[in-house]
Amino acid sequence: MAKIKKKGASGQAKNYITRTQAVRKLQISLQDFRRLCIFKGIHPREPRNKKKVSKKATPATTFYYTRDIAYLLHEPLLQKFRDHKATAKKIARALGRDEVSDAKRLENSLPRMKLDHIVKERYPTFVDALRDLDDALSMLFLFANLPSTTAVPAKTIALCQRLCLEFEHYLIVSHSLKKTFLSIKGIYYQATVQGQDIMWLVPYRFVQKMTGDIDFRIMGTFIEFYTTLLGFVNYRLYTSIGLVYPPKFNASSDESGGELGAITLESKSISGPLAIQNGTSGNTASKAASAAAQAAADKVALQNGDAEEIPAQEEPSAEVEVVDDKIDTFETVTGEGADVLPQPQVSNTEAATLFSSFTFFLSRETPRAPLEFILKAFGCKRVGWDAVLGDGAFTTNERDPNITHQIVDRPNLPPNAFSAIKGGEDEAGAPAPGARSRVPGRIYVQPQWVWDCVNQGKLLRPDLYAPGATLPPHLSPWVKPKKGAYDPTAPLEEQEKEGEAELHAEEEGEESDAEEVEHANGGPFDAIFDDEVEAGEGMDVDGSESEGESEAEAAAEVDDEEEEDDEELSETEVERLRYQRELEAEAAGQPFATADAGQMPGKKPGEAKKKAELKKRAEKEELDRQRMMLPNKKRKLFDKMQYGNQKREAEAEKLRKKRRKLEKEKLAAQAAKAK
Amino acid sequence: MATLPPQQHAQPSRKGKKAWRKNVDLTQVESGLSTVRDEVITGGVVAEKASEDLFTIDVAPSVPTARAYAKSHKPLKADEILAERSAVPPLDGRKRPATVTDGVLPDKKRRAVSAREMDRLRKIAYGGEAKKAEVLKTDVSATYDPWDAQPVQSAYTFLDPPRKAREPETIRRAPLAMTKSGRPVAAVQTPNPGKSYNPAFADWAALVEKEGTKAVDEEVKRLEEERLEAERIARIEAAQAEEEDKKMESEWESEWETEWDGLSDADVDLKVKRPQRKTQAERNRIRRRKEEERRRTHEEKAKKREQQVAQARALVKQLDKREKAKVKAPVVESESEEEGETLRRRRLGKAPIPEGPLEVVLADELQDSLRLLKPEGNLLTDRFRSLLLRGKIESRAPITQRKKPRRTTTEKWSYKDWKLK
Repeated sequence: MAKIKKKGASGQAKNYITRTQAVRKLQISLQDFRRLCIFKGIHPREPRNKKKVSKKATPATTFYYTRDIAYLLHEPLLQKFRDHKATAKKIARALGRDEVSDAKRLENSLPRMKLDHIVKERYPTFVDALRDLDDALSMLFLFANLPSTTAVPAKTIALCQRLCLEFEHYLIVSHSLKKTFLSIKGIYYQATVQGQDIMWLVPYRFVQKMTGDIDFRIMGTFIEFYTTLLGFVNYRLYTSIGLVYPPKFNASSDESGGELGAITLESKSISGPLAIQNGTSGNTASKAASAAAQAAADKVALQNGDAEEIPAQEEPSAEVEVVDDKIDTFETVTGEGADVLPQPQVSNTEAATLFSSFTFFLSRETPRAPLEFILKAFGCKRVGWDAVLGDGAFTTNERDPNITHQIVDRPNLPPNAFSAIKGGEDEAGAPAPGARSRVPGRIYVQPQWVWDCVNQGKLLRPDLYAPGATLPPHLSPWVKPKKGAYDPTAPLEEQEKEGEAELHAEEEGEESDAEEVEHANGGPFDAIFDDEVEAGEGMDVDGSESEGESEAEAAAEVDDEEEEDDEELSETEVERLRYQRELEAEAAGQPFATADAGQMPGKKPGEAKKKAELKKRAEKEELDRQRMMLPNKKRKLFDKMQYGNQKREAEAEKLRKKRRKLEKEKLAAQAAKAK
Repeated sequence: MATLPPQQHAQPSRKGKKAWRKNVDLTQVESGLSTVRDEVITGGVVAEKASEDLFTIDVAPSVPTARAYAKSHKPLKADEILAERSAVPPLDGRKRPATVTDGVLPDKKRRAVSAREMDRLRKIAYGGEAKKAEVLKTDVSATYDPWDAQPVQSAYTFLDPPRKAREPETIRRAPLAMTKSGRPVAAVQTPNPGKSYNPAFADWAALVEKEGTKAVDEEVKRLEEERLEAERIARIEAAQAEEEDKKMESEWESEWETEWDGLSDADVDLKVKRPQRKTQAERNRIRRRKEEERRRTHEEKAKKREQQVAQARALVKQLDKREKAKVKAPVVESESEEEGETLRRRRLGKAPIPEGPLEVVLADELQDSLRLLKPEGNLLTDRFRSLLLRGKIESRAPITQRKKPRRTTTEKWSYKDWKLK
């Protein structure tokens, strides 16, 4: 006979412990237990059979692993919690006896706790900590944007803000921000730090409502742990690139809304601010001065800044190893039919130079904090903004001649809307900020331009994002185009099937007798035809009819000077680019889809169609053969996949057809203009 | 003094010449005035002068008197010695208030601790759990790298280093995600492309469609439940009404009956127990009947089975068809991770996990300018919900009203407190 086992002495009954039992065992209050569990990363578990664990268990009973709880017994924090309780009792007794000085003395001996050891324990390596940073960053950025209440004290908020700003500074210096997305919830960011993708969500300003359904004590406990964690992560990141941690924090600048500018980074080797700061030295002094004086002062400041920048930039580069991180592209071995491997997007050097040659000015209606952060993270050295938006701007003078780009987010008004007011102000001398006249020689864009440029890793055509223009849709950078699906950002040649263009052209030829070409006259900007152009357009999937019009409007709104320049450019440019594209297509062995593809000599109508059909049939046969080889279960899965693929491809083809039509019209318009 | 009017007692009668103003006796007044004048001439009015101007105190001792006294009263040597005082204050065994320690009294204005300090102390002493948070030191910025820290070498090399508690492997197990599939939930999920502030039409339409169908389904379900509930209530009410009617009727009838019939014999058809035993013949008959029944049911079943076997081929065909239809049904592929994954039924804790907010911009609210964007959802609840979904914490319903001790009401026995007089 087998050995008789005693009930409740082994198995599930031994492995699990209820929360009440755990609290009793540890001899602490329930709140302390909760905090301890959060700090140590001990989560509630679920036994396979609750009734086997405990007869009394109800559906609401929470269980923990007994071994986890036993491990908690060794936690130094637990002893601290108990000590704290004991000392609090002593203080209460002293106060009851009116022995205030005794109470004071006891209060000084209250145990103070630190979570340092837990950070190392929970994240044995630094990479572990980075992997778990998503939640920490989202929480801290959220709390940094909360209003202070009794549940969330101002001290906590200030700490969160400081840590977040420090982290942002690291991202700026290391150019490790990769993607960002404007959602209706908030702004998503993704950075790659030491090979780890970190994604976090930052709320928009001033919209957080405090609701009653969340337990702020629990959130506060998480914040306590995460602040400690991010502090150490920041320390490590700063020291890894040769910076001093903690960086200098200018409280007065922070008070006046300095944000990123309130923190000054210092290099370990040379004492002095790094070049990443907004090179502003004289702009507070010269605020009251006239516009001319302001410009002069800024010039001087800029020169000074440049003088400082050069050694500062060179020095750290000596110790921080600069790797030529031109990224590799990964090619598939299997050939054409295989899935496209996701390619790494932007390398650090590319990110560092995207906006490096520009000076931006943010109008007062734009969100300053995200724009400043993103622009600087992608290489911009000089960001100015309206004085309303806070301290730390490169310039607060909108008329500064250094400014190359201005970010505006307001409806476009006719040029003479303010003429009456402006006339009065001109007599006074200084141009008022109220009179929003355009400064020539500067590009005006809407904020979305910055985000789209960053996500695509290149500068997009700014006229599509001009103020008042209908913006192309803001696409999520995390949606990877599937095989066969339509990708609005890629040029047509890359994604179309072989022979598709010709087939389409044939169909078009049949239809064109009845149809009439509508949008005959496009704007002058349609003339510039390169990859960037293609990337910018075609995003608008549904608004295909209105696109031509909106572009024409956008083009009309740009200053006269620019227009002249572009017109000169366009005629020669168009010819050159078309020739170039033809050559490229030839080299790639692809047919060049031009306006007159349908009337190509030596090709009978219907030939392409036949060819395509033949090819299709061959492919299908091959697939069927493969399908037959599969076992039944896999065959079903295969069928499912096939169904999805076909659907996607049909959709994509429809969209491509639409786009091809548009492009053709555009080309026709250009040709007409060229003549 | 001189300006006083004539006084009553000095002028008992107002009749006669003596009462005339010019005949009032002023000699006293005039003499007073003259003395004052004299005093002014000699150096000021005496009454107004300070006493120091008028008197001096002779403090210098009279030397000859003192000498004479010392001659007659010579102090004892012992007294002289005792009178010598040390500069060091003597020790005192007397009990006295704690504020006096070294004989120097603290000034009254400054207390040992300020009122604010007292408040803080009181909070620590009686504040309970709320104050524990402040004990944690988190506001100090990091000063070392925990991943690169060198272990501190103990001075006592001959001692074994203290043994560390070994971490159980259970602590590293991933928390229980609250999804039905059991797949872990990302801390920050990639956003749905339709949730862009300026979405592409297709993405947005797909999102609206998805959320819309979900909302419609919920609404249909709610309406159905409402209808069922209404039906149930109606049924109960009808039953109640019927019962009441019956009751009324029967009551009325019984009243009527009792009134008119008086005592009527109650003819109740009670079931009479079989008086006699079953005969063997009867038993046989019953057995035969039962057997016949059993046989018939068996035959029916067998027939049915045969029919099914015959239909098998048709059924197989039908199944095939059904499966094909299944294959053809559109496969919904989740584009981003942020899809509302169905939650598991058994959750941790008592309270249900709250529903995520509807994060959709309707067509009329769709803006293409960042300035006009009205953010949707609430990140606070979103973060908290994410913690729950990832199984990091258990869900709890906030306690709005604590349990109160049970009270029993009794009647006071004071009515018994009376006395016969």
